[in-house]
Amino acid sequence: MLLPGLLYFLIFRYWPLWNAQIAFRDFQPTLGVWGSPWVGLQHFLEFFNSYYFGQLLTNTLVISLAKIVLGIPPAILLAIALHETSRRFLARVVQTISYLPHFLSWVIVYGILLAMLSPSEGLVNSGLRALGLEPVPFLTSTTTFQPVVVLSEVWKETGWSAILFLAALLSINPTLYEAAAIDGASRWQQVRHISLPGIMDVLVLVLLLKIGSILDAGFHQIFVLYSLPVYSVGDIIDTWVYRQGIQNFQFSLATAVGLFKGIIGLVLIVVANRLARRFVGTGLY
Amino acid sequence: MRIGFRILFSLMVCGSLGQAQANLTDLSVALYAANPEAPAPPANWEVYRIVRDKLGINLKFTMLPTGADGDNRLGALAAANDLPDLFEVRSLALFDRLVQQGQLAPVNNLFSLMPKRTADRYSNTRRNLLVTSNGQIYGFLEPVTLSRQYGIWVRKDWLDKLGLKAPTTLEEFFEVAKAFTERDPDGNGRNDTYGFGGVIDFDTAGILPGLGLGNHFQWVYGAYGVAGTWNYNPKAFAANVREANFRKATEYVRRLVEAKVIDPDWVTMRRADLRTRWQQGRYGMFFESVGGLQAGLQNFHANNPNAELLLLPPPKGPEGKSSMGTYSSAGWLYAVSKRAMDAGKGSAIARFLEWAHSGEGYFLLGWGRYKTDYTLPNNVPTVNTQIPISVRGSYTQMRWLAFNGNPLEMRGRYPEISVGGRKYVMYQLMAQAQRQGNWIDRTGDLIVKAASNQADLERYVSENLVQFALGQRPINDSSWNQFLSGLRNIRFEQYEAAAEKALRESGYLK
Amino acid sequence: MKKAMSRSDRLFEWGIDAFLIGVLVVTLVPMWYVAMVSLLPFGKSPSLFLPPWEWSFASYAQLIFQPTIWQATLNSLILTFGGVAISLTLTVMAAYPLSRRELPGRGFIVGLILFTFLFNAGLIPTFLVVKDLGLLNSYWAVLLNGAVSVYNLLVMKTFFQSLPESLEEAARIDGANDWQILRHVVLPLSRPILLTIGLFYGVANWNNFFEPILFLSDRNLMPLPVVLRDILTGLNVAEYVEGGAAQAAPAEALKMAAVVLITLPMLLVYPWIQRYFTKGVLLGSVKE
Repeated sequence: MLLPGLLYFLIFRYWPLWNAQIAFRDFQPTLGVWGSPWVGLQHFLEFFNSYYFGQLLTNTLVISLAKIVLGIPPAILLAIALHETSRRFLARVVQTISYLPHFLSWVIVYGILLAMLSPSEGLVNSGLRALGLEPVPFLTSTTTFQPVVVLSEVWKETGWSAILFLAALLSINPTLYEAAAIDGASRWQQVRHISLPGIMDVLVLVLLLKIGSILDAGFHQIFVLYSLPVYSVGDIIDTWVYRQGIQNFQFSLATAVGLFKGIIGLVLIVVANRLARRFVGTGLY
Repeated sequence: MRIGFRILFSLMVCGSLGQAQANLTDLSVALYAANPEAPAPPANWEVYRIVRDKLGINLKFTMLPTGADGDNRLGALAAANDLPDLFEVRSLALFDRLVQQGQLAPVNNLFSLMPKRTADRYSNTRRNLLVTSNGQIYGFLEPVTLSRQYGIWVRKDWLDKLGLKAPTTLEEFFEVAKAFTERDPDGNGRNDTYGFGGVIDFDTAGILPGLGLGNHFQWVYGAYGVAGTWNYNPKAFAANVREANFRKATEYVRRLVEAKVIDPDWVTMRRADLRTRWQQGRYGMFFESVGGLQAGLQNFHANNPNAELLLLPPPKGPEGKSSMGTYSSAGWLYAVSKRAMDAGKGSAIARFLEWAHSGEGYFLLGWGRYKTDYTLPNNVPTVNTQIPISVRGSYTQMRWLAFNGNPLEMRGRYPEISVGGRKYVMYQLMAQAQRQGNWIDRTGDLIVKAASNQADLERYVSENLVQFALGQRPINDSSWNQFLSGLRNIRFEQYEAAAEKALRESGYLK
Repeated sequence: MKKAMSRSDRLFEWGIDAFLIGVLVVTLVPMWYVAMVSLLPFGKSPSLFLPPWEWSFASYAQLIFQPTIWQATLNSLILTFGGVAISLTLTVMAAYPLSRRELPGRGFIVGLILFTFLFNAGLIPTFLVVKDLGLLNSYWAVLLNGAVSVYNLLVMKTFFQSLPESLEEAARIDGANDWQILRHVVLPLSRPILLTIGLFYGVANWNNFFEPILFLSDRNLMPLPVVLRDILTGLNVAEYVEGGAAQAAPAEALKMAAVVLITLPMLLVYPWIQRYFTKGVLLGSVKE
């Protein structure tokens, strides 16, 4: 029964990884993966020595970290609110609606953002203008671009990330709350001392996963959102690889950067897991 | 039911017999969609039958996705050593790489097999140099007839209303643009018009991508004598970006931006957005192709009943120079894969291209179905606009293989149209745009190979210029020098030197 | 549960409800605005409340009367439903054995699968595999390449683990084999997870534009997102349109109508499946 699934992973996941050795070769299609000459770490060095390497790394890390730091609290807050409210109907409606953006592709969210933020026609800027303020070019200003990237991610994913926390809250034994209520704990105190500790495990899990993919700052999102004026704050490793590796047909280079990201992710996740086990007492595996 | 079966069966028999007798050559052709809004031609397309019966070719046509997606797909096919037999290449970087990796076949031997097409299109040896490597010609480089069809269009009705004259210099342009922005030319009492509409756009057919703000702003650089990427000065060859006037031109764009006479969305807008907005009557002046104008006239006049448009000659700079921009006389490039040539498909490819060039093939590919998609009054091919482009477009998806830019063709494609009580003679406007634009020939740019860090180079220059133009960075001696000295860090000099060498060797720079 | 509420508790409740309503507004306003812009007639500026008598359906008409759209919709449906069928089957068949503790080498296999979660070989190595399998320009390439998501597989495995083992043991004593147990015992209990994971796969397939562009060369095979993305990014504009083919709707309206059209089928299916999300499913995923 397991066979088809295993075959799938061997064929569509491990065979490509095997082909990924072109990262260490000068890939010549006519010679094939095997016939192309070895060049060692040349493509990796080209990436490390490229003009924008420092900036790419900084942007990638800043955007990624901001997404984690600003994305998780609203999700926890939403989960707690959904769990705590006594209006079940409201909770159901909010759940249904807030999960929805997760299912929209970034191209579509880009359309929505344009409608909201364009300096001439956008809703937000119409509002600003009505208040007598100058319109803000949100998508093309170096000061606002990163916030737009992070907040649009928060808008899209908060509802969805809340599910995990909500599930954790629902698995807390209800008698804990009852006992606390009898002891005279206020609702806020109950949240503070029962709910928050109850989602600790999930929080660690989520954080570990995010740390493992910290070099993925969201290719599809940035690719549709960025433009020339904001490259200095918006260009990330993956968009650079797209332009330099894919569009300039340097496939070995593109593959090398992919492997680099995988290795960093692996190292980070192993280290973070160690630390989590040591200090929080729980981990990914 | 049974009859149906019998017919089907006999058809199958016939089909297989015919195939066996004719000794068909399979030919896969991949082109970028000529009409992206229309589907691929249907399986029963007449062309497939005729090509099979008359040329002995079993044609398999696929449309590449629009824009960069298409380049990426070709790149992936190339990586898999699985290129089509005959295909269109729009990315010079890809072309260079394919030549270097030995995936393309030289086509020198095919020219004599298609005498008419070669005489009309590929006999310019100088142009062929652009796709020559080690003495071999890799691909069919088409001449371009439409690359100079762009211009700045002015709302004459607005000029009249505000008592202004059509601007002839950059200074006048600035004043008119300001008046169009601030003096409510449409008289609706709202502050909703802009002096000039243009977007950052490198992707206009036949014109080479440049380092900078793109084609819609080349006229500013043209007015300062620095349009295009290279200065082509044989004594002091350099990238135009180093010229003192280049900074002045950028400062002028910045002035337009700061005076708010350009639509503030210009950096993120695409061509389609620009079109909507001039059609809505938001701009007093805008950059547009004659073809784009033609497509939008109906909406434009519906929204702006008394409007009138003028084609503006490029505004003159302080030294009296002017140019609408650069152009290339070489356009589409069709390449033959080495695999196809090795499989002996060369003569079939030549047969097919020759057929597409004139007569029956030309009309079928270029204009579609006679009497359905087009008619021929006075020998001028005339499109039947009753049939929507999304339908007739299917039958002309390969038309770039056929079109050659002869006068009758131009009349057919850019006819006289009456709309909003005004008459537009599109082919005359086309000629006017070509004539009065002082266009600068930069065909030679094609010979310059992409640098290994091309993406970084392009980003560096364009990003900095946009930041200067938008006012995100001040333009002064120190900031500009910092920008120029940064070119060294990004190895721009090597790129420049390679460009000079290539241009000199090919004779485009002398 | 709640008895006499103290003042601070009431404040707490208000705060919570205000927050929830805030979330609702922030989520809905952009979507509402998109719908309004999609109805924008030529020559008008968009606003949050466009009066119904000014609504123009020209943008929708222009999209709907394009032959490419219908072909693309059909293609999308094939890809979506075919994808869900294949993906669910493969995922269940992999997740069920992996959820059994007695499976030899279980940890190793799970490790192998988890590893691919971190290491993605990238575009070209994958393309080479698809080409070597002879799947280029076939829906199989799109359907198979993304058939199993590691995340979905793990969620399903965890869910299967959370089912009481006694049921299966009972069935085994009755002489049922693994397939029979899966079909008659496990799957009937797994409706919520099947629907949820099915929706995940369905949405992923519905939104997928990258793989079709890469793997399919026949434009008549392209799904809806590819066509609508061209519209949205302003690519789908013929440079040299003959004979004044008019555009009926402003570009903004056209783009937003594309957004609405591609979201609509999802909006129709999603509320029916959404209620299963939290119930059981992700609860399971957390519990391990």
